[in-house]
Amino acid sequence: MSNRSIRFPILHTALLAVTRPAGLVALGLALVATSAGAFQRTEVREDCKNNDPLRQPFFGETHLHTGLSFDASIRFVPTTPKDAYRFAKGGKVRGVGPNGFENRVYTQDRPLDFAAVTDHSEQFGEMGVCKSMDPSLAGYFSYECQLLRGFWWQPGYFPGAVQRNLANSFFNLAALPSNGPSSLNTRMPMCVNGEADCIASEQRVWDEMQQAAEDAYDRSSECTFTSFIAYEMTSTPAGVNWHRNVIFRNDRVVPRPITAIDLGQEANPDPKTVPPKQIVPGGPDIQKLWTGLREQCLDVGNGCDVLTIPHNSNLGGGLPGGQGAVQIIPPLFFTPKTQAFAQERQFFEPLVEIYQDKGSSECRWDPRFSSGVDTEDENCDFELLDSTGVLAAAGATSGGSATAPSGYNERSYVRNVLKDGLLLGEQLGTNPFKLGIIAATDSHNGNPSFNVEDQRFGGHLGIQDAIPVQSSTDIQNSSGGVAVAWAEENSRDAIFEALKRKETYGTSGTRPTVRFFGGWNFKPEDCGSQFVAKGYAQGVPMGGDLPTRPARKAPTFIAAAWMDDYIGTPLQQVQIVKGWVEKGKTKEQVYTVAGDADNGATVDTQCNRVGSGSESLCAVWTDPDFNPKQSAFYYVRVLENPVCRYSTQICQKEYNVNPLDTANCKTQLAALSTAKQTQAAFCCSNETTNPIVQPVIQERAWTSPIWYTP
Amino acid sequence: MDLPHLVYALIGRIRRSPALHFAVLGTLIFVLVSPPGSAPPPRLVIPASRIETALDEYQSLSEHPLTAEEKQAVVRAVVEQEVLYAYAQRLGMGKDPAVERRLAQIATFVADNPDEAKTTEERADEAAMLGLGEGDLIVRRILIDGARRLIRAAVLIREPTEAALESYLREHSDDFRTTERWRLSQIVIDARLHPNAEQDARRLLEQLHKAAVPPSEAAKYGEPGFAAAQQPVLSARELERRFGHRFAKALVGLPTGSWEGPIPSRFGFHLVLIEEYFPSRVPQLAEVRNEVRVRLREKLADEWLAVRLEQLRSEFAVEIVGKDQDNYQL
Repeated sequence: MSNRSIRFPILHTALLAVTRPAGLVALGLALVATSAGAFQRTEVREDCKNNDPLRQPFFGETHLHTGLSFDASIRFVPTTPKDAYRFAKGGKVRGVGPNGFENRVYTQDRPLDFAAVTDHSEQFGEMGVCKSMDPSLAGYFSYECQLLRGFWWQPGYFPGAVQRNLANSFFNLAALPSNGPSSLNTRMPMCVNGEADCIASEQRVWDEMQQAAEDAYDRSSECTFTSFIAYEMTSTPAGVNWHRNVIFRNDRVVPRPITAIDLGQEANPDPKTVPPKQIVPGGPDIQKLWTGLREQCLDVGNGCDVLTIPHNSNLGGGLPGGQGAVQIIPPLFFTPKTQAFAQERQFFEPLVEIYQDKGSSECRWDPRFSSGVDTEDENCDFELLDSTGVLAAAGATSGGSATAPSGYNERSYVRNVLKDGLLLGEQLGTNPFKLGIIAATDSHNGNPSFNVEDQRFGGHLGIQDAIPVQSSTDIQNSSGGVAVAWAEENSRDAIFEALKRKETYGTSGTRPTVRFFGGWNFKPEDCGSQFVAKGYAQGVPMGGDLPTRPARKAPTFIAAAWMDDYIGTPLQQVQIVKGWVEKGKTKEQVYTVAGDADNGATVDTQCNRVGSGSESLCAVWTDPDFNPKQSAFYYVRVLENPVCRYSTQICQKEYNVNPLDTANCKTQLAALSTAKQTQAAFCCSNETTNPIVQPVIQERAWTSPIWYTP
Repeated sequence: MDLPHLVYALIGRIRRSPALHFAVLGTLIFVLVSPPGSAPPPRLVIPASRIETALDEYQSLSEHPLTAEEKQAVVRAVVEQEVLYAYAQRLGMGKDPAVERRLAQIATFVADNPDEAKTTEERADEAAMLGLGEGDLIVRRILIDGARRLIRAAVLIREPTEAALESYLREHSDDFRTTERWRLSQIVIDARLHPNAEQDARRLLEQLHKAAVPPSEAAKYGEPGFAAAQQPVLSARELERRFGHRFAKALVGLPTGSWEGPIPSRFGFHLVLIEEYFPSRVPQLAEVRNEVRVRLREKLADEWLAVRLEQLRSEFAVEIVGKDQDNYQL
């Protein structure tokens, strides 16, 4: 708390005075009972007409930025949180093209069930001042503000490349001092000198986000859409991704976001006399985020509840300290020193975002090196980034070169984190990394779950990657994923509890339905029955812990998947990924339990799907290698038949350059005009090049694990 | 004279068809404020290079040489900005405190003695005298945006009438329609258990027809699938969540009260009896008042802005000057 009062002395007192009475009086906590379980109603709303006690899959977005994020605003993104929610419900938003004209329209043809807008909270004050339309505020005409709102610019005045460069300079200015440091954090100069305005503006932005969520939320019994009040805590010490999305259960939230600026190891001195210190070994004190959320949300007693979701462990591998030295900045998933910390982490972070625009974080197998990061699973070659830090991946610094898998911290990938969690659980008494799985987009264009895998995909960062195939980092960005929650009804309480108990899965953008139950008595014939009721009654769903083991039994699992028949790509196979601890070492094994890994399905050079697959797959699987003394987890990965990646379709359709025609691709590129060559510069990338890009991908889904503890 | 405020004072009398009236009214004001037989309209000179730059940027984006329409649209956008800029200056918006502060900033930056004690106004005057504001994008942006907002504000500060709301809802009824819904019973023949699921489903359909099986007995037939035999009232989206896209699409147009099918889905083949169908309807104004109000106000403001821009353009003698000046049609 000392940190907070030094930064915002006035606000601190104000906070204590202004506690939200909203809903408190009317707050009738109720348990809504179902046969699978029960969820607690913490808000005033109608029950949903469409309630299924055996739960339904709700598709949503948990990571989305609008023009209220500094890094979107500098790239001319025009959308507001309100626009984003409208888009989520099946609407349109305006988008910015490669020269800054707002000449694009994105259309969501698959409405979402839920969404959370998660703008970067560190600059709420700056954004509020700069975008206030109130020039009387100190700082309104500051250089930072001019850059933040793209105010120097009018369509056609500067070429797109100049705009992108200016934006990137500002990205570094903003991201390094206020998001980066481990301590002695500060705001931008305009807010140091105009503190009162920034405090008021921060409040206004936070209010706007809450209001947008409230306006979008369907509290009627129709339950057509659920919004969550949320923000992104953007701690980026020395370019290492420690980001978390903070998602609140209902309309009772913290009075102001607890941000990366609050996480310094030491109290902040006067920023007017002491310059910000970029790197303090050890990194920020992440505990301060959770302590803050505890004090200002959970302990307030008004029904406030919250969870935090880390993401992009692929960019959060830590900053090594040179040969043999300890790490200067630990990875996102660092080893906790105490059991208390492990408990805190498990409590606040039930989920991890395994996939988003900035690549897959499941695991890494690099075909260029024929090796992986603690894995030999060749399906881990999916949507890999060559950048190891978030600054490069965000386009602010030049792209990464191919780093051999041995150069990665193994905790950069979720599967390894889950494995290490088992080991740490044995050592500390609590598994700090008991993580369920979701996926999201992290789009900065205000277009939640715009996962189109074709030429409609217009990048995820305004002007920066409006032509995604023109830069080596941008072409590596994917079209993002979807979060899926199994809940009784489409309401905040029901979905939040699904997130909390990890009954979730993530997809790489398509929307297959996936069920996963673990127990001790499932029979091979259960696939042919209505196994869902049995799954709940005799076992646990994804995200759960296997019940106590009956003598001489090995665990059995029901894994079932149905294809997304809107997109229409058949399923190829259902896999169960097992991780376990054997004699103090972590191990993994991937089992194909249904479908056919060698079904021969592929695409032709014009991106037509070739070969067949399955509309649905189901298997009851018993672990053949089970050892009751070993901690283990099991999660399902569903692979669809191959399809062309969006970048392949852009190159083919917009530039007549075919990445699938490796013999002629470079000739086709060279035949373009100079301007077009620049735009299509990375079209001939593939699995053998630097940057690595898969022209043909297998869309997939990952479920939360089911754990076994001896 | 501040035109939008004059407009505001007058529009109180307008009752029906506001957009049309604004147009008429705008013309009226134009006539009122343009003294008859007065001097020719002031010149508005736009450097051809400015249009060239905008065209180049636009061209670099498109897949084809710009069409005549596209070119004209770009020229129109540039001219529009220049007209708004000139209009803002004519209204004296250059004396706006925000602009003055910016001008003062520029003047201080180029001043011989930046520390000299001068008021913001004095500094701003200096900058204006030197023409420093002319090329400054921030000043331009404040003035252009300001003019645009001011014009739109003439409409936005007024609440639309009940009748206007009603007629907007009537004219745009499709935007506000409720979604259609179904209450149905279904029987699934699981494709994984029946190699000839579709045939089996057809055979069962005949049986159902022959025996006139009521929906309440649906659960006795077919497989105990992943969805109950009797479903609550559901929209197409909710049905899609439960049964998939193809199933939801196939329901459209099916008759009620009889067993129909087979309908393919990711589960297999379904026989369906629609018990009740709730067609989509246009809601009453009371149910969607806020949404209608927001959209109508935006529409009126946009229309008024377009009308005003047309008028403003004719108040200036717009000239494009420079190389290739004749290529640009105004």
